[in-house]
Amino acid sequence: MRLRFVFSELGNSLRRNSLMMVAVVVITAFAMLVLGAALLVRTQVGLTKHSYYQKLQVSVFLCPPDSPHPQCPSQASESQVSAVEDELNSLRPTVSSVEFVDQDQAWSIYKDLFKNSPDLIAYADPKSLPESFVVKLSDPKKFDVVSTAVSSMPGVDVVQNQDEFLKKLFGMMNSLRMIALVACVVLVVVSAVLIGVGVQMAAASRRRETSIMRLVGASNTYIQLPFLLEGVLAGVLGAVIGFGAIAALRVVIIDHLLKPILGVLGGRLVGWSEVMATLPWLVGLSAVVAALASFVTLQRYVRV
Amino acid sequence: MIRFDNVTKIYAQQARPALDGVSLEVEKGEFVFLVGASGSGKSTFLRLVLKEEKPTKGRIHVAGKDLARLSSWKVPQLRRQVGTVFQDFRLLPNKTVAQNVAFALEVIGRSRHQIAKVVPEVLDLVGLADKAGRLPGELSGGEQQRVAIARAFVNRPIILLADEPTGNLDPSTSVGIMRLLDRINRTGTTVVMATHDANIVDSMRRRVIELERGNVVRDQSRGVYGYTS
Repeated sequence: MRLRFVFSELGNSLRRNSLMMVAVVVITAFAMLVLGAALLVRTQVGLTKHSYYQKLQVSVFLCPPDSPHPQCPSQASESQVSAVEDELNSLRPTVSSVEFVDQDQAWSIYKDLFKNSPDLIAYADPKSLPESFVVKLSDPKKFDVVSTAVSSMPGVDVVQNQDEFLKKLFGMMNSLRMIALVACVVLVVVSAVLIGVGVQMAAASRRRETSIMRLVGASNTYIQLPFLLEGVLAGVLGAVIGFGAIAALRVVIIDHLLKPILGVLGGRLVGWSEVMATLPWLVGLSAVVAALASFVTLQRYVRV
Repeated sequence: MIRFDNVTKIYAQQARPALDGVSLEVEKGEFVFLVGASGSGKSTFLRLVLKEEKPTKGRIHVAGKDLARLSSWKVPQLRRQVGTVFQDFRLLPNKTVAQNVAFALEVIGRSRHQIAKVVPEVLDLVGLADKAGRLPGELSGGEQQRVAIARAFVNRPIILLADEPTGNLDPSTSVGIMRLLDRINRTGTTVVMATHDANIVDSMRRRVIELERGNVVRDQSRGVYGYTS
């Protein structure tokens, strides 16, 4: 294999077919820009979700004295409290921590919560506040496990959770991911087809050369490699340009588009390291797709 | 060197076979004219030898190999042993004479050192040593065909196929091309030449195989063109 020959053929072809190659590079760059943006959004969603999850907790309120609820005929007894605690501890590792909040602590939380409303504090009776367990979960989606385990136990008033809100949030995150995924697939297909067309045009413009190469007994590799490299080069160039655009647009996408939405939920925003991490994916994917598209096209149009 | 055993070739969408049960053998070192009207099967014969087409029926052996059993990745090896020349020269217009000839060696992976040695030799053989740096467009038809022959022969094939090599040339230029093919034949290369040119066939007095509607109707060892179109 004489690489010098392959590369000189590649150079000739690129010069002659440059307009088509520019089109391929531009479209691939655009596809990779959207794909990269989708990847970053996905990463951001993951980061936000992670940080939000870590703050999630479930409160198991125990029966206070003088509860109007029928499940609480009297204040939770000590044995009932320890039974609930044992039950919660038995749910490890789904449950990552169980913390008992007694009336004094509940009162200080209450005071902190309503420190701007002195009336509420003045009229509240520390003795009427319920004791509770604050439960942290290793997987917040498994709230149901805690709920079913303890909600009907004697001495338990109510199990409070952010379940409904969570379901909506998860649903939104999932549809974001799905949209990103569909967009990726469509764009990758478009860029594959374009690379195929580009390679086909390159092959057509060099039909004279390839027919002579066949005639004198050049191997498949020799005939097809320049075209294959041409397709891969266009794909990789497109990916690199697309990545450049992402890096340039990071400020717009992350700081102006995502921060107002995700900032309130807390957690870190996507940074340069995550942006850099998309580069190998974009380049790798477009190289593989371009190689496949070129190869398939060559099997059809540059027969030996 | 080339053996056809009862070879039939039927192209899709054509009722009549292009070749119909042809059996013939060309020995090593022979010079064979293939004559016949357009559509008699000459080109199909040449394409079958190069394995550009597969026969519908029958067996073909070229250079000791059964083409039916030759896997597709070995076809390039076959074609390196079979040089080919066409009526329309098929030169690359943007490459010089020497580059056109060198191209045939580059694409089969020969070293630059070897190419630099062999190309001038073969250009000398075809009488174009002084025109190595010219572009094909600057040459006459006969000179262009010499370049094509140099390209077909530079790899020293054991068989040379020529499809109407003088079809675009005037009679005196054609004589020069025939002398060249004769010289190549004398180096031991088997030459098969499809032609319409009665004068050439008659003057050379070599083996003549005549095809008509896909059948061999005549096979003479020192033949003449013999049929009138």
